[in-house]
Amino acid sequence: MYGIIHRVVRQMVLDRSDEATWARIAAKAGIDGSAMISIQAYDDALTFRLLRISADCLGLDLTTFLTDLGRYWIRHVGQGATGGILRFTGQDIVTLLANLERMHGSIARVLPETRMPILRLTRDVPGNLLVRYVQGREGFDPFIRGMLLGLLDHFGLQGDVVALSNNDAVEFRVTYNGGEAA
Amino acid sequence: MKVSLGCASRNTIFPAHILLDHDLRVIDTGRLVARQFPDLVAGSFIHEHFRVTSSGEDVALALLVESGALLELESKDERAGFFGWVLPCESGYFLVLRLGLEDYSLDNSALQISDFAPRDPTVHGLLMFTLQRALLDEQRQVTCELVDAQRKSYELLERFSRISGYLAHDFNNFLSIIRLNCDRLSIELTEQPRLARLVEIITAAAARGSAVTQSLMSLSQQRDETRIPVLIDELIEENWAFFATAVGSRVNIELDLNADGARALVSRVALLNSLINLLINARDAMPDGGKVAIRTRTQDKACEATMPNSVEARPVITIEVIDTGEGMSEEVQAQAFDPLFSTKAHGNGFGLPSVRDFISEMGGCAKIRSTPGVGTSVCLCLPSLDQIETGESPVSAMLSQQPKALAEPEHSHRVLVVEDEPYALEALCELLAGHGFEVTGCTSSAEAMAELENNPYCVLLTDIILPGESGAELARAARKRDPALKVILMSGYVPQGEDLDEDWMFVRKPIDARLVTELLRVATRGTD
Repeated sequence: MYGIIHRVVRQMVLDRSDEATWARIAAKAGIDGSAMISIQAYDDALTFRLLRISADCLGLDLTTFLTDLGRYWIRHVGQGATGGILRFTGQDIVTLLANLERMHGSIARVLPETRMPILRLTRDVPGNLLVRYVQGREGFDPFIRGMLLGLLDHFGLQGDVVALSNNDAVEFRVTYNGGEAA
Repeated sequence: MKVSLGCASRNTIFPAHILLDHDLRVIDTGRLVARQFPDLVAGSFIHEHFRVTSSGEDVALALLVESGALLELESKDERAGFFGWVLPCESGYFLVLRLGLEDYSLDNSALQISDFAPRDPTVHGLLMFTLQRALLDEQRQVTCELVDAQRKSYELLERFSRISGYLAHDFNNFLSIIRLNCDRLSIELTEQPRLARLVEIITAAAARGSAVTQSLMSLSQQRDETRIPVLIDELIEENWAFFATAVGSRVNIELDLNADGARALVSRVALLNSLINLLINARDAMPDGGKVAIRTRTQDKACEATMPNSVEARPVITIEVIDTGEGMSEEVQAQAFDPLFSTKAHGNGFGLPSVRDFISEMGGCAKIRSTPGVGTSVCLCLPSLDQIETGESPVSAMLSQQPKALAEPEHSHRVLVVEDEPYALEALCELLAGHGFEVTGCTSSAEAMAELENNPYCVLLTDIILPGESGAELARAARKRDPALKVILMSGYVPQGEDLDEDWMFVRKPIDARLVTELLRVATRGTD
């Protein structure tokens, strides 16, 4: 995976804990500054090791950690220079989710080894959305749920995201601001 | 050809369009235009919101239909602009537009991906530009992080270096005590060979301990500043085979040594390193082979007016390394001693500057003379100590002899020894007294200065690291008071920034009593 995820993990650990905790995680995972280059592709095994050790050091199970990370991911990319990309993708949750695949397609031209999650808006009723996630990497469903929760936070919406497994794909129901249940 | 497009299709294919009636009033706008200009409502005139131009000139839309020229729409509030074409249609004019971007920054932009047609390359351009800026920001941050990590690493290394230096110093002090007292015992035990043998073993172990501290010193990047009188011709002769290896088999090396008995106060290791540097340069200047000569001679005074004053006034020893290589142009000669300058493909530019720095530290100078196509001569000029008389043993010969028992008294000369380690001071004073020197011991620079003010001394033999003022500071103050005072410094550790004056002798701890004794003889010669 690309180094950007390592950077986001580090930032989340620093926000929740301290430098010493991060130093411990980095030492255990066997990483240093050279693993922190956003557009550098690293071995998936390295990233998974980092995720497991980070969850462990923060006292979280992996599912909770990945959910928190997905939520934090949106907060992180919504700031700074990458904030413009998120705004360009959409200035409300429905538009953003509808444009997400197109945005990922553009990014993938620059980062050819990236495997962006494929998310498709299958129901776009405001307040009650269905998002289909075509599984890219096994075990990353909690991260996607976290991202969707992060989008709700980003747009200031109160709501929830529930995963509905459906054969080869996972669907997430995103309800917010009093949206009706399906 | 007639094409019919419904509203939804118009928005999908042409998200930036304006449909006008024949009176140039807005009928409909694409979603991009609608979002960027929400007040461009149906019924408003196009000219109320935009300046209609082509190639910068105001133009009528009807003319553009006929000519097919590019349409430019610039908003009256200068927020945005469009460019495109005017197509005639039943209702009036269909303006097929694209957003004209002045700034690709998305920072304060209201644009969205869905404002653009499905494969509009503007989307890629905007995303790439923004991604690039984000990566540049990250690069800046990563660079700062790396610099910070490097600085911390250097600090750690420096701390480690300092600690290993201090450890080596303290250890050397203890080894000095062991060694000096073994020397004392050796004198007492000449009639007891078995005990003398035990003393030899202890001395040998102390010597091995000294080798360990030397390694620590290397780690702490201590300079090897042992400066003793060196017979230049003898040094060159001893290392001739090594020099021959350095220049290789294609280069003939010749010795032309005319400085018999002449000595300079130098570091043997540093002088050898300098000669090796010069020989390697000579070899590299003769890729097809050639000849290099090392020539020594003595002169009553420095050979050129450009040499430092300290050398001009004194006899000198010159060491010349002369090759028959390709030579240097005047321009190259002028830069030859500049750090990082090199004419070699893989040269690092450190060789000649380090030679010049070494020679300067020894109170001498270096000069290059070269003729392109003929060869180069590098001349090192060193201040000469007094010549040794024929038959007198040089320092190296003396060191190979066994320590003498209490000898017949030599000419007595007053030596002030300053050493804050009392056991080392006691042993050193006793040993030197046994060799006929009149010795007074002090444990601090303040005590030593008081002693110097009240009594005349010939030689100041002092540790560098002392409580209060350092030995080097004491030596300077003492020399100011008495310029004729000879100085020998000793230490297991030379603190950074501690400069040694060019005519001071320096010995490393653990102290070799025979070496110190010989140095004292050299220092006190001629003061009777």
